[in-house]
Amino acid sequence: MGLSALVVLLVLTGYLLYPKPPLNELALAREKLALADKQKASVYAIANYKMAKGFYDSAMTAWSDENDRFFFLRNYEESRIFASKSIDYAEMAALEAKTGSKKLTNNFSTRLKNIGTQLKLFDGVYKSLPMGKKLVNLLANSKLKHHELVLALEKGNTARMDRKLKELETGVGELVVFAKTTMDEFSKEVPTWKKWVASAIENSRKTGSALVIVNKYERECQVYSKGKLQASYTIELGTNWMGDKQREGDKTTPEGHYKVMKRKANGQTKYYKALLLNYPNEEDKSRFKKNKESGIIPQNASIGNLIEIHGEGGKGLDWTDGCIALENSDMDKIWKMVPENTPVVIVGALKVPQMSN
Amino acid sequence: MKYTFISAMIIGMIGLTSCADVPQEEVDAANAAILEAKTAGAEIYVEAEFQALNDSMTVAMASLEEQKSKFFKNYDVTIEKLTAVTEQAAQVTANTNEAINLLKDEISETITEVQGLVAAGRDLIAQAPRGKEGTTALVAIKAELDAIETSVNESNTMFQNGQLKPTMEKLTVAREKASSINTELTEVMSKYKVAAKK
Repeated sequence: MGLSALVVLLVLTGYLLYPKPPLNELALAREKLALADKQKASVYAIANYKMAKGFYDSAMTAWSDENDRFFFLRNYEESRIFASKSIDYAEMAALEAKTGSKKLTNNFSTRLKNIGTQLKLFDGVYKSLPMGKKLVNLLANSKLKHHELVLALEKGNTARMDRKLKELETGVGELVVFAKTTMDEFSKEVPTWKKWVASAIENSRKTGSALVIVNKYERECQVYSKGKLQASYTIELGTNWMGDKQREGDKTTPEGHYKVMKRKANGQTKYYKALLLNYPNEEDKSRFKKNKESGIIPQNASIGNLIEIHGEGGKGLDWTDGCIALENSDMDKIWKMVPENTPVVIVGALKVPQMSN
Repeated sequence: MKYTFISAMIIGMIGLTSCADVPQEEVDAANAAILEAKTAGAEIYVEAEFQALNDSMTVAMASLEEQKSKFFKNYDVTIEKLTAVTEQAAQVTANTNEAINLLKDEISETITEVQGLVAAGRDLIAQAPRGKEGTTALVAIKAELDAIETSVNESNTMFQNGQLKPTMEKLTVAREKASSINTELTEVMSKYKVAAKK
């Protein structure tokens, strides 16, 4: 009887003294790590997440090591401490990831929006800006990359987003600087052009003659009579419409004071009807010579000729080699109002383009 | 006699605490199955399933250690969990392979589709209105088609390198862009035709 009681006592003592593993702490650590995973802590809170994972693994290793020891000698304290630390770090990682991902997404979103706004300028105010092949390709690539990054962000795929955005920002920055510089240069001439037009209108008023004003930026051709505006027509220009004509083949519409040299009726031109201008005038010739001497244009370049106001316009794009194209119905109207020797003033713009401000 | 009985009891108790063997075979099988799923690309193509699989293994390993800590060990539940993990891993591997095959098919189809759209775009450019000196006024659109073509070539390289998801994302954008260009070109041409009739 006494012996049986002793055995029972031994078993009971053994059970009570038997060390208990940190089951609750480890379960909680797993739960917290799962939450951190959900918040993508491995991406947005790398350091804390790694610590949390590391401490959990250490807790498991410590637990396993103790399990290999004789049961009365086991001590799970170290495992418990590691598990607690894992819980703390997993909580921090989850919180950091939540705020970090939001912050990062906002940052990427704002930058993408800015790039999108800048790219849109090239479909709007910079649309007709003559750009070289390199910049045209850069613009096309930038638009595509921008689209790719927008889609990636929508899907929450932010891997290497920062580096890709920086590359895109550099490319788009180059485009914007080019556009802005070109527009600024263009805008500098506006006061001079305004004076030309004001003086020509005044002259039309005094002499009672007709006058044609071509405003390249506004794609507008105005007809005056006795200093009063009679009509206004939409025009199409050369592909490199911005800037003054330098030489043959540069696809630029010249700027300056010209006259209608010859009226070409239907049948005399393949562009319905045409008003041939006296390009190159003396100023054009002088500038051409100077530019050739200074090497701005090649020695074998020609100055060009046959700049006309003609029909066959209405294509909705700039397509001529430097001529001014009107729709045929408008050409009929202008034809009636503009005799030979009518002054034609061609200007870049009469007000500073909006985006260069 | 008394001492012999007590000794027998203690030896019996010690024996009982270590009588159940750790299910090492099941642990190894589960780990191997998980590794197979990972090698197949589960982490990338069935991310959530792979995460769930890892969570199940973590729970199974905790169950194993829990039993190891016990005075009277019983690994039945642990074995059940480990076997379930192995089965789950096999399913994840199968799902990964299925997802990869579907994605590969989709990529191949999209590459063909985008190439077709680019070719159609180039045809439209050829038919589009031109200037009197043959100057194309569609340089920007042509550049965009060139950019799409480059993107398709890059996608092809990425595809060959096994980067399926980024390839599909890139191609999706290329497809959208090519479609919008073709729509734009068609609209410009119809506008031109209307203008030409006037």
